[in-house]
Amino acid sequence: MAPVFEQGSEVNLIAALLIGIAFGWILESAGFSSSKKLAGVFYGYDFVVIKVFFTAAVTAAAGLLILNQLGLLYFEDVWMPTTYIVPTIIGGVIMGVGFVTGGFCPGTSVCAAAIGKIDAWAFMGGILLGIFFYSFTYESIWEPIRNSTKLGKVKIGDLIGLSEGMAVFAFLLFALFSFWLVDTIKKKYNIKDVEY
Amino acid sequence: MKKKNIIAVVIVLLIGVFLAFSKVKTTPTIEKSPESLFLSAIENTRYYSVEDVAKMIISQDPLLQLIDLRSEKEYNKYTLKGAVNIPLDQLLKKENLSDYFDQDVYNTVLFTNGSTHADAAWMILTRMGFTNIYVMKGGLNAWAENILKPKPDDGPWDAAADELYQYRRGASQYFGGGKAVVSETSAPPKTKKKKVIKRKKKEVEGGCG
Amino acid sequence: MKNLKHRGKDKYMNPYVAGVLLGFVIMAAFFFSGEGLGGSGAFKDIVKTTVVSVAPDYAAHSHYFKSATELDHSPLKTWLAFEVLGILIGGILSGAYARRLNLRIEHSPKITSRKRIGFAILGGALFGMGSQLGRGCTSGAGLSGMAVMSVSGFLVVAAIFGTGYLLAWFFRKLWI
Repeated sequence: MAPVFEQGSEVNLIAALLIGIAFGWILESAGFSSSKKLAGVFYGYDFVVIKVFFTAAVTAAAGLLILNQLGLLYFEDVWMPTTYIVPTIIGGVIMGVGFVTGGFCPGTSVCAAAIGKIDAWAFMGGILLGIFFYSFTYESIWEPIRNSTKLGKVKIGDLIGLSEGMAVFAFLLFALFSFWLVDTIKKKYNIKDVEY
Repeated sequence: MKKKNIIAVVIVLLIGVFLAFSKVKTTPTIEKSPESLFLSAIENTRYYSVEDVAKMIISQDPLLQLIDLRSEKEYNKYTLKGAVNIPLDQLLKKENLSDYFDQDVYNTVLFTNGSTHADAAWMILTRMGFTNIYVMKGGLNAWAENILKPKPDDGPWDAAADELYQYRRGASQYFGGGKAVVSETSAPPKTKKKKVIKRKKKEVEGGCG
Repeated sequence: MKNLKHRGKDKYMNPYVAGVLLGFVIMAAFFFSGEGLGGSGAFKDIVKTTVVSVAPDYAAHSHYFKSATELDHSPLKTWLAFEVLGILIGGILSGAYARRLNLRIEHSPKITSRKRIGFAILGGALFGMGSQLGRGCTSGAGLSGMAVMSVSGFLVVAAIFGTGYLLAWFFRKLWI
């Protein structure tokens, strides 16, 4: 029964380390350790981000639903984010600017730093600076925004009126469509990979 | 390569269609089967005698959790030392269940004036899968009769009965002598809400925010 | 992919294969630990640990750090901090296996290294703030949020990539 390990237990931290190693390995070997590849998604020369990202999300969504059907995992027992509409959108927009200027996201920057990318170390330093700035201005700027427009632990299916299974199926179709779309775009406009 | 892609897409779609018609399962409530419920109901293992309870109160058994199922009015008049009041009609309130019954550390002893209502509550709670639930046999009536004003056994003298009587007399003194009766007004003992060690873990926190 | 002439170990993994494997890792995180994967959480833990140990008085009065001062263990002893340490180790292992380990600054020939570093710090800082406000970054809120079909996950992914595409043209000199 999920979760197998108790929250806060030592064995759970070891599991975290092992899961992190697998995560880092896959990110690195898929090419997420290169900001050039990551930024390629915005310029149409490399869609590996979209492919890996959506394949992973759909696989996990479908897999978790299968685990649930087998009675091995109940969604009440595992992490589920609480949705706050406005802070999520504003935070996402800020992160979007960060992505297109920095070329990494926090997870991939760790993975790129691991193989010696100095720009990734700079990016990680930037994250710390950003959080420091955020924390010192938390009460005056961020706190009221962060706790506004709370929607609760809402699933996308409930919001658009689909059952969980149908929502996962729709997500899968959307992912397949996006894969087809990016390949078509790349072929049609004959966008060359950039080299440096 | 093209053919491979098509096969992969078809397989993925098949899995997707299969999943599309599945319904999310929620945590099942662990219910005891009627058979095992019946067995433990006809066995008398669910009972504590009033002497057992008295002994636990005197020795300040840290694992004892007394639940008074009578109304608040009756509870305020008289109750057992350390007892928590959960009127029977509020038994199934979510916070009561999670605060007092959803744990497996304490021995929870239910009591009312007699034992019928406590028996009913025991049945419901056990059926819901809660463990370590007991009933004080005879309830507060038996408590008044045997602990507060014990009478010597009328029958021919025998050692066991006498020992019981002596024990009851001792307990009677501890609990304020023969004068106290169930209906008598006395200030309710201050009961602090115990820190309950939960069996289920708290809501999952986390995420990288 | 034409420029990747290498064959064998140093070739990048097929993105769909990598995606499915990553999906399994997410499932494992939920199944074994009940947690989603994350990235920015560990950075938050580092900041919390630093501030709580350097300026405990300030931390006790700050709404942001208050919860961290009440812990009975270090704010770094969290699931996410260990998981991110794992990412670092996993990255090194994979990089060593594929012979990609070497110190360098990767940047477009049109900009200097210094400019690349500057923008990387800027991007990191924006990610730091955005992830705190949005309760998680691309992997934590986005990927793990989508895995449990949470509205929040889809919302944050749409916002990140939407903004990225809108602004891509303005920052094209950095990359192409």
